[in-house]
Amino acid sequence: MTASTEVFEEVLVADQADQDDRFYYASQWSLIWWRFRRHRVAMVSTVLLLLLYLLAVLPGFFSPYLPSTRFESYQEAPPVRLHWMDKSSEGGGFIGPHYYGYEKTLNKETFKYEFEPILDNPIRLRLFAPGSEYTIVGDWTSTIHFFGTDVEEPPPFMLFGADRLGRDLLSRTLYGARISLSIGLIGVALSLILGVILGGISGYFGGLIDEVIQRLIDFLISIPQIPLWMALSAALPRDWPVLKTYFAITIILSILGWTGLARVVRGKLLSLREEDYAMAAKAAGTGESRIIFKHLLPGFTSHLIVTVTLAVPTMILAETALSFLGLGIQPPAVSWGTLLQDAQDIVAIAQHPHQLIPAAWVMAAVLLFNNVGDGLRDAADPYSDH
Amino acid sequence: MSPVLQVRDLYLHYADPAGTVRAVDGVSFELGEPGTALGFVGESGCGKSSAANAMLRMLPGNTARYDGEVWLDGVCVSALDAEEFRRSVRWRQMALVPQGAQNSLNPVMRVGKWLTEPVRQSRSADIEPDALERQARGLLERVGLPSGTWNLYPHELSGGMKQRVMIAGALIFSPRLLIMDEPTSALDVSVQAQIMNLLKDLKAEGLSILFITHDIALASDICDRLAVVYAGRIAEIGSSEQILGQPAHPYTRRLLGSIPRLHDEALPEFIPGAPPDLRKLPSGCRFHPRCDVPLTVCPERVPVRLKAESGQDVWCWLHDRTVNQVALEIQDE
Ligand SMILES: Nc1ncnc2c1ncn2[C@@H]1O[C@H](COP(=O)(O)OP(=O)(O)OP(=O)(O)O)[C@@H](O)[C@H]1O
Ligand code: SF4
Ligand SMILES: [Mg+2]
Repeated sequence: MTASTEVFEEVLVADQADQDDRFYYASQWSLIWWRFRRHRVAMVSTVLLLLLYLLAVLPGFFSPYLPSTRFESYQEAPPVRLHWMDKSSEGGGFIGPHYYGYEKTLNKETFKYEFEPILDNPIRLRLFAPGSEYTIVGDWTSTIHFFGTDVEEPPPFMLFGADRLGRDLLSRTLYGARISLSIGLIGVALSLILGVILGGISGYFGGLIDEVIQRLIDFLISIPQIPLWMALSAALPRDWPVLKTYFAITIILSILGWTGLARVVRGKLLSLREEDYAMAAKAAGTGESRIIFKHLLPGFTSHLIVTVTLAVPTMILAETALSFLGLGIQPPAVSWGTLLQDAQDIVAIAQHPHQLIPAAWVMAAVLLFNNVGDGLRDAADPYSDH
Repeated sequence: MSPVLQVRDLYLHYADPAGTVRAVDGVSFELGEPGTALGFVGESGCGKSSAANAMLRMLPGNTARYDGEVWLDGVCVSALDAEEFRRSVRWRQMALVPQGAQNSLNPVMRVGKWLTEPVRQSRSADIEPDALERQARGLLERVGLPSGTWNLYPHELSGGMKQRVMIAGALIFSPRLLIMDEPTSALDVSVQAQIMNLLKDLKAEGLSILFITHDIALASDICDRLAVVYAGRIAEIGSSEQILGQPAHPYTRRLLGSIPRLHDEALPEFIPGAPPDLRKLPSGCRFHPRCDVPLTVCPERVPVRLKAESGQDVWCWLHDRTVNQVALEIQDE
């Protein structure tokens, strides 16, 4: 009876589904992925960002030295150049990647040390060479580095130059990436948890509880960020171990970071809870928290992911700023911010511009995150053409 | 045997800056035997959806008064606390397919997931996932949808298909009572007929239906009994034959007169005057400003439940044999 006489419309839909199965049955996520893949800049940025995080996860392997290893006579040495063609007097041909040690001389007129490469002694580089021992994680150690040399007691190969104490800036930048890049992720994850829970409660229940949370957000936003960060981190005891300071800084950053996310979640929920499907879920006996997290939140996860991606660089910048001011991560721990402390002196920068290399890394990370975030935003927008 | 559904003195008022909205104002009715349908008929804005929401305790934030008793199979479910009511009554015993069912499916859930979600959420459910899927797929088939619907998103469904998915969803716990709020108002006539046929089949299988609509003709198609609602109150309630054949309330007569008829010389009449503002209700009988046969007592006293000659309950002084005497008494005072 009814079922058999009226299937025409369903058959129509089923036909369409057969014709373009892949598109028709595609979930929201595959659609976003398809659009994202076509976004060149965002794709390249994603790959580069993943590489950057790979470096940050294994700094010991990729950096030639330990961040604390000092080469006394190489203080503030400029970057060592990588060569492919033999520069020595009798040579001249291709001998593969190699470099030359520095000879340090005191310029009698300027009273500055000058570094000149010793061209007749090329030191060849190779991949996966043995070097100083480093820990990968926990008790797991290794001596194999991504690149190095087999020469006995070679002069140091400092691709980014050396800092004031003669430590390799490349190694320090890579070790610094570990803290600076992870603080961005962990800080945003914390903000996300706080933001979703508090924003969710605020937006779904409304009323007094909404009022209280909103006033709290207003209050937090009205405090100038940098002074607040400074006050909070200045309150941290100096003698705390690195790990403890690290988490304290992360928490301080997310205490302010959640407000933006909470507003996004609240705004969305305020409109979504009025939707018929939220009412229907309620009529079906669904509990409040399940309505928020199972029925409403999935409707804007893509939106949240974009917001979060765009929030990470802010976190990274904030950590860098704090550490730069000497209030964040404390030396001897290394982060990009602490590395840039050496670049606080304008005279130092003028004479040793390589001290600014960590800043370039900060900029690169921020730009890459922004590119990925933009790409995601375009891909997640259902109205962008596909 | 106790009736499937019994509602006693149901009130739902909303707080509003311009005054209290008395959307449901003392509604009592009964839905007797299983497998029968009661129609709830009235103009737009008379409080039909509010009554359905009140029965399910779906109260908005600005609820000013909520009162009354709802009995299901002889059990007073209004006595349950909110959490217990949510878990054991909504969707399980009394399923509401809300008005705007077109938008009641979650846009980011596939049909299959949406159907089974209410079962999966109940922690006590010891039902096997496979068995649940089989049951839900069976329901899809029951409401006349192809099995491919399982994997579709709501935006891939037509209006009629969505309404069917909603009905299938409402049946997942095999409730005794199905409340359908304007189930066909957004559908074209042929799809509307399909849905009505489906409801009739379900009714024949023993499901009780509370059918809410503004369309008295449509209601009479499926309902055994009809309740005519005016301004938050029931004006008249009785069997469909009584209401349609011998309407006792002037409002019902007007309502029936306003239905256009094929090949009828007379133009459909409309009901003079505006539908009442639920914030500023007229005194006495709420219909008196629009009534064509008002009595002197009407603006002064709220009508009580009376028996019409044809047997239905009606709230109108015309049916009070002592009404003239009452009127005289009032004049005397
Ligand atoms: N949350 C609310 N706050 C204030 N007034 C409300 C609220 N919900 C509904 N109303 C008002 O209550 C009255 C009854 O609304 P209700 O939705 O119950 O009517 P209805 O009979 O279902 O109408 P329709 O046939 O148009 O669906 C309307 O005047 C409406 O404006
Ligand atoms: S009570 Fe009076 S005003 Fe109301 S419907 Fe009956 S006759 Fe008309
Ligand atoms: Mg309604």
